[in-house]
Amino acid sequence: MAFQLQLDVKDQILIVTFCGELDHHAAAEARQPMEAFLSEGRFRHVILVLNRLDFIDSSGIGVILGRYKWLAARGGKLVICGMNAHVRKILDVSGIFKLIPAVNSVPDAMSLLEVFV
Amino acid sequence: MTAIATVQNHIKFTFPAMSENESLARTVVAAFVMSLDPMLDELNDLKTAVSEAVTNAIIHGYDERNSGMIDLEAELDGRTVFIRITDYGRGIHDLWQARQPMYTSKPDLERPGMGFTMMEHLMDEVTVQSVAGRGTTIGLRKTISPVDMRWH
Repeated sequence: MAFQLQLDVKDQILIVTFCGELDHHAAAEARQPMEAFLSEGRFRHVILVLNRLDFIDSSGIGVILGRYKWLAARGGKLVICGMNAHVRKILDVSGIFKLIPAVNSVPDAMSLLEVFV
Repeated sequence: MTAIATVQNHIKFTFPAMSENESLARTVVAAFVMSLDPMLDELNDLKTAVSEAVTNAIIHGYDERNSGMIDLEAELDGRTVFIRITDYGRGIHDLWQARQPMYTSKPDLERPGMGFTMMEHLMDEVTVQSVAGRGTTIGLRKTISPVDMRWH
């Protein structure tokens, strides 16, 4: 399935949902709308929802790491939530969980970010 | 389950080094191994490794110029899958360095330098042959678990 991205805002937190397959080809489609939204400066924190993501490879990891670095440099937090077994395995191999916390649901992510809002 | 004859099959296809074809390449390989009835996890491992190798050819072999061709060969020998992905681009000058985790020759492109690490983690064996100015062949090998040996 082609890559799709959905952006939602809740309590000044940007909620980004990735759907379909995030590879090198889709990386720009994932990166650009997030960059555009974040550079407006209205949001400090981002929740990345991955439960509708079917496929990811190291190019997709690059997209997530890029946003993490951007946010970290501005005092923002990134939280990942919900992922299938394949996505979890690839993220685990990448070591990304040492940098970015992962929780089960958006409410869990919201409560994790509450202390930072 | 009765023993079945050893499966021997192979395919070869050639496609332009465009990022649109990354999903095509991994989908073809997934379809090719379906006769082995792989577990979802094994199928995803193969798709991811193929995606990494093809992306490597497009970005590093051909510098994302949308020119040049990639050959993908896949072979079944019993329950073992052999895949070879070849580009005719600029080749890798330092193979040892390219295979180091987190090494990337293109940090400006948000490349995490994990392609080879990922392939090595997901496959039983990864081989790389490269000649500067001539191109690179990445070989992947993985044995699919026997259907009657699985926990259900």
